[in-house]
Amino acid sequence: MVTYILVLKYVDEDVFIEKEELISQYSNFPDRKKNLFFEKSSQWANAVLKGGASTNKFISTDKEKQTINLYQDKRGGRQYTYPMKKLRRTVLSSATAEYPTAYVVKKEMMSWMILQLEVSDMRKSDDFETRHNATLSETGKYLAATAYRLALENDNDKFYQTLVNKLSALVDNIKSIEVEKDDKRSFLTLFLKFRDGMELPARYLSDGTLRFLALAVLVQDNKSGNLICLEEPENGIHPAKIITVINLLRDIAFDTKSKEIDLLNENLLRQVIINTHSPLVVREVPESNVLVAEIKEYFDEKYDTKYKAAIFRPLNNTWRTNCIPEFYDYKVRALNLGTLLAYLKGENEENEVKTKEKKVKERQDVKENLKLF
Amino acid sequence: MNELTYTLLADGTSDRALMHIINWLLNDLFPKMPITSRFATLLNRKLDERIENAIKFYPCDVLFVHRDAENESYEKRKNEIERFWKDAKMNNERMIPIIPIRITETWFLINEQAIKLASGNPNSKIKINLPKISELEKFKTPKETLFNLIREANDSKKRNMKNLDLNNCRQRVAENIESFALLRELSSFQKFEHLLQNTVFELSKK
Repeated sequence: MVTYILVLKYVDEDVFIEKEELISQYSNFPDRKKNLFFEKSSQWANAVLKGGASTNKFISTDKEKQTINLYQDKRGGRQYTYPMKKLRRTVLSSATAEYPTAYVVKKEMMSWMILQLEVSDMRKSDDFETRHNATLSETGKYLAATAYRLALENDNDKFYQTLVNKLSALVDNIKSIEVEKDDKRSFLTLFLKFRDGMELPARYLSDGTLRFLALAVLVQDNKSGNLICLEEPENGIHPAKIITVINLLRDIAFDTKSKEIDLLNENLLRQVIINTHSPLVVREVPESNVLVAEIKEYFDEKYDTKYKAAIFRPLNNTWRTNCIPEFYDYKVRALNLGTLLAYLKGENEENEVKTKEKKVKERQDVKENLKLF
Repeated sequence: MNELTYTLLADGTSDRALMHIINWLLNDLFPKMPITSRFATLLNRKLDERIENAIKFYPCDVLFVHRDAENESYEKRKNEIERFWKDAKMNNERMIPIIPIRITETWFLINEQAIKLASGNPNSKIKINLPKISELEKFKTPKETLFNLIREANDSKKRNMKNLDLNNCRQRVAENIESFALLRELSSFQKFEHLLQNTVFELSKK
């Protein structure tokens, strides 16, 4: 269990590294377990938190000498010193296998994905050759090839039927999903077949359906990165179906409370981070999973000036406010209830414009009966 | 004091523009004190309920309660607010009344350029006749005057007035006023500043 800290300085239109640190704060299992404040099963903790290097400093910054040092995992191991001013990339990014912990952390972070699914990429057919080790790219390329690989690696029918079941929560009348190979030109194309006989290849599917399919494929792909970031999953989704998308995202992440751990086939560390503007999404996620971004004013003694920075506020009475992580030097202040409620309600009197014709919400039958639904 | 969190409870949503004045004053008096500010959006009608809910849902160090003086005296409004405050107070919050004479819009009739910008016509050649500062608190029609000045500065044919957003104009005017120092000539503002200074000094002693 390691902590990576990177502090960048922006001076004269150039960026420098002011501090870089990779440390293991807790050397024993009980301490590690105690300092992960979210809810977890002992099975998960045992599988994930045991073991590790015998040293606890892997990258550190020497302020006086203006250097950043990279350490090997064993006591008395080699050390590599980088002069801070000359660094054009992080020390972590240069770690090789001789520095195992730093190397593993580097590989881990490189596997993190920011999904920016492009409809045009998801609609493409893939070359048959790409099926080996095909994974979904950040833009959704290789959707067909990835599904094809996963179907081969697992039980073919089970794989596709799982996709059908998941997608059926979003789209009606799906009979089957399959990736077919076009023998002439050796292309792989994803097909959706409906109960009424209609067959649609990926290039005729809607944006929302394809995004959902991409996520459903990710759920089943253990080779994908340990962190999936996705922006505004609510876009293009009918309000009533937003819960379906949230559920799918939750399936991608590993549930740390789970008592059944399959080390070989599951990605125990997989997490999902989304951003959203939708109260419908916020309502549906577990309370401790919400962080509200706000701009907050601070005062800097060194430069004798006020400045503004982002703060991420958790909700009150969740594990996030009931603990204070040691490496934060400010007290995390919870979001006040008023801001949360005003946001969930969603109405904004200030920007309202009076219309000549009655608005939908002003109809008598709506006003009277909305509370029943 | 290290930092201050305040909540503004105002008569109406357009009075949110008062936050520009509050923030300017706090920064002017206490330039090293970072501020976190909130506007209480509440549906209750009655002032006592609104005050109670404001500190319940928007916890703060200071609650600013805004009431336009309108046809009443400053003292009368102040007493009204203080009466409800006594019952509503929860922890150790302080309350500061903001009572513009006669209404909020009075405090925005101090800067010509801001009005031109709010009108959408920054280079307007129209002469903007703002009331004299010394007469401002006696002025009977601040809101209508503000709207009219903005319309005049906009200087477009009637159909182009669509570009003019009078609903939000108080915000636009307030945003474009860099300094509210002129308000220090108004009695209602002087009282407000005095209370604010005392309150913050009191809070820093703790």
